[in-house]
Amino acid sequence: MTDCTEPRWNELLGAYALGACTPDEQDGLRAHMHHCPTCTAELLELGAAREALLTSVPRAAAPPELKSRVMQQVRADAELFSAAKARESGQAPGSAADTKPERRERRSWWRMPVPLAVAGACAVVLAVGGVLGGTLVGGEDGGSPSTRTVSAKVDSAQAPGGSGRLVVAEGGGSQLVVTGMPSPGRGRVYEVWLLSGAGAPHPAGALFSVDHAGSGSAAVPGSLKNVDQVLVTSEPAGGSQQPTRMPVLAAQV
Amino acid sequence: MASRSDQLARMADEDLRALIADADADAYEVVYDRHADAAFALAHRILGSRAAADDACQDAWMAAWRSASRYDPRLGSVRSWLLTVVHHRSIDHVRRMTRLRDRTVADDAAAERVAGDDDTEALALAADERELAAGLLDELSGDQRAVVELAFYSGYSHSEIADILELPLGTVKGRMRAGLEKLRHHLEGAGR
Repeated sequence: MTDCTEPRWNELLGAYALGACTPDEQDGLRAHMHHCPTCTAELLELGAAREALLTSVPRAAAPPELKSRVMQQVRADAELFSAAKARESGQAPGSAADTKPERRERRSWWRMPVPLAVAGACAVVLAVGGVLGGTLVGGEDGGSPSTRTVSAKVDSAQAPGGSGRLVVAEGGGSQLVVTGMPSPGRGRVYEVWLLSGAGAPHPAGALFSVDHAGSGSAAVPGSLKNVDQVLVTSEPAGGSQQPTRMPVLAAQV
Repeated sequence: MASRSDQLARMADEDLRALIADADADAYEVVYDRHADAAFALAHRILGSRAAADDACQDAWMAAWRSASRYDPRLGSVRSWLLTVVHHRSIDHVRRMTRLRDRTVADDAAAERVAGDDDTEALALAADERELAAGLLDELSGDQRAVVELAFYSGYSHSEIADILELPLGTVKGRMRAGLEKLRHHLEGAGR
């Protein structure tokens, strides 16, 4: 007999451990466990059974070509990261400074120097696998002289099939339009960032989501005259002051 | 003097994880070699075809590499973290696949999960699984095993399972919990 005073949550523990709850139930149960040590302890006990299920499967050897593909992407990521880190410290990749036991986490990508910061940060995600979601082109839409359109690079791993275009209005009022994008995630939104010079990205003041077809748009306030890149990341609802995830999209202004 | 690869090969997963968080590809390769077969076997069990398992594993290994700095060692071993990433990615794949095929409620585990191009392989696998995946799941009653397998390896929610098995929702939840409890007691008894 459990000591939990809210049995509707306690009875969900087995389903939760097996991944069989709805997203709402998952959120509710997690919130409940913040103040229910009984359910927390009982779920931990079920964890051993869950872990055993992960490995209680017929044996199957991973194909060698899978390792080749994975490690090719991983090494491409690592080289970009190493180059960006070396650039930041003014050293060549592989030099003594590069091997110092730094503990900067990869997710702090915006602290890397420009232009390698941008190349590294975005390319780490955007270029791996040799797949670029778009190319940088200017004025491709033949629009009015005061506007031009650039295609954004989209991270094919985060947003397979996604694409984006930035309509840059010289006098302000630029517009970012995306199609084929996945949802930013439950309780999350896409946030637009502006990157200039060697500084950290700053919020453009534009949040957006996408519809069922993956289409969405965001008005980017102000002029982009001194902006090098417009980036998009998935952030918690309400937005963030600093990016917390790798960019899903980058447009070179 | 031992080469770096020898040094890495002697390190524990948890120590390698710290290097991986700093984008050390060599460290990641060591971890990959240790767990690639277990990861692939799990994805294969869920998806029922080598091609689909290959896709899911590639996604999972890249996701793990890119999120290594967010891994919290208090929540479990590196192995169980990696396998959990593989499990999530594989279930995402199987849900996408079944959604595309108007998910039928008359599912009979693995065979129908991947009906289509991989029919033959899936049917062979389903038969294989029933023979080979003995052991742990055999500890469960038939009723418990059905709900655990449908949830954990086929990605169905409790309410979908209630529809499939024509059972009250409370019964499904109860069998899930009882099944996991039984496995836990079995593992404790086996000293694991």
